[in-house]
Amino acid sequence: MWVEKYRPANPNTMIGNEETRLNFIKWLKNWSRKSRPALLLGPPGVGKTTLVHATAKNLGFEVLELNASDVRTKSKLEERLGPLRLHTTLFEEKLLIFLDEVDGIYGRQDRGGIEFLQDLIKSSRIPVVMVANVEDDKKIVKLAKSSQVFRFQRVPPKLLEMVIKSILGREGLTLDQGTLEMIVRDANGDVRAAVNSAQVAASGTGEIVSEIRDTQITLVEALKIFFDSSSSREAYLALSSCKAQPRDKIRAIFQSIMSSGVEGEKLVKVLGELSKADELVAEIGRTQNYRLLRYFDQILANSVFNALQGADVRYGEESLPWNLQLRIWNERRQLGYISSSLAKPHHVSSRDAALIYLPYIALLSRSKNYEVKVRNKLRLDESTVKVLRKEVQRISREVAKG
Amino acid sequence: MKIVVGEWFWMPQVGGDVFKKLVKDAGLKYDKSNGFQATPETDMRLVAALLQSALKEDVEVMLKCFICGAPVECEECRYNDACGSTKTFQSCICKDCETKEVSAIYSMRFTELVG
Ligand SMILES: [Zn+2]
Repeated sequence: MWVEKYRPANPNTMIGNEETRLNFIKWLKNWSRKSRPALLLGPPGVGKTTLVHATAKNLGFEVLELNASDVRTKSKLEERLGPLRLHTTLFEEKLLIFLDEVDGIYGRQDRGGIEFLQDLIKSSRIPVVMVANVEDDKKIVKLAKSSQVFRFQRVPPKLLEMVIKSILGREGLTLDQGTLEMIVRDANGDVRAAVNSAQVAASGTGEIVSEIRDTQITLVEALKIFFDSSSSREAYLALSSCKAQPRDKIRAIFQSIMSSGVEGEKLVKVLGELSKADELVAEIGRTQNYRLLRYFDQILANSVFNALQGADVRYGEESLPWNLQLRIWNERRQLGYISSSLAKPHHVSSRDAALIYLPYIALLSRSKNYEVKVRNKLRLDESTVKVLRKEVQRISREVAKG
Repeated sequence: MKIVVGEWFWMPQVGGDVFKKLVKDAGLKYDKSNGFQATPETDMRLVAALLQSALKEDVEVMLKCFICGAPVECEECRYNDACGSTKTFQSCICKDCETKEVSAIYSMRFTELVG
């Protein structure tokens, strides 16, 4: 769908509500623990949700999105938000809690849920952003009093026309001026409606290719789209449209990354992110808090997308022997680090370093003296050294077997 | 009278009651030295209705061009009827700025303001 394909990844390329947009960007830029939560109010389809995601991305925030319409009682809300607050320690990145459609919560009767939400908002150590479509609601008025309100208006017709023309241009399509004006008038200031109508009109048949999140796709297809994505949102949509097990998704991303030859710090970073995602799955299994799984795709997509910025990764599953893949997987953090440390002084890619040099270094480091030298030279920490020692034992056993 | 959204303006005496409604209910910004200003917080429909009945004259709401800052002339615009008299938007694009590159220039102008 065009609305997804052309969803601005940067707040500067959005249209309409210029002053509100500027104010919101400033709010997030200057956010401190004393800041009040942000409440974005206004009609649907004018870019409130897009602004939150685009600004967060632009300023390096990771978004934890909670759909408030599902959160109806205090216990449910507690269940979902409580563990997430604990989990924020998993991330070194800046984090932002995003409650979309917050009117969903305030439309309900349960006061416990609302009070708990207000507690959370007050005590939050990370920015909280809420979005609501209605504003006459008494409860929203109350919420507005304790928040910094960002009011959105409809987008003027000329700007709607401008954005449709721009999309048509990029698609290599045209619409006659009469149809264009009709679409703009009908949209009544709603960008999403305008873009959807334009796509229907330009496709001629009145049919739109179904949105990817509405279709089930295979893991292979999902990953092809995932690595081709131009935004973390697109990457997320691809992952979430595939129903594979979380661990299979992590594993498949890992294989693709290894077979694409991602190197150096990028490799270390992305392996670190995959480890975190893997830990999250383990944590969910341990605590049996399966509701957290609904955030898994988003967390995985965001972190991997950001870690891979600029790297050319294609879907792939071969090219490294399976047993080596398994070893790298099992000791991914340390090995990623070792490979990148080795790659520089030896002028090889970190993948080659992992493949060729690692076993020798490990073997040689049987001598205590040499181990100390290697440790110091490569600035390896204790856990990394442990992996090296295990590697030595493994190779020794293989050598002994002949 | 004419009100350009985002610009400071003065109005004739309307009385304490109307003034209160304009500022408190309609969210019109007031400042002793600058006068009044319509912001995104302002309910322009209410402002127009209040002023129309208090001043017994038509209130014309105008938008500034986001690119060049000039007030946009609505009479010659193809969407004049669609916007209605109380234009509840934050800004528009004037005829002079509607070039082929308007989309790119519009984004560049915003990027400039973000700094
Ligand atoms: Zn202009």
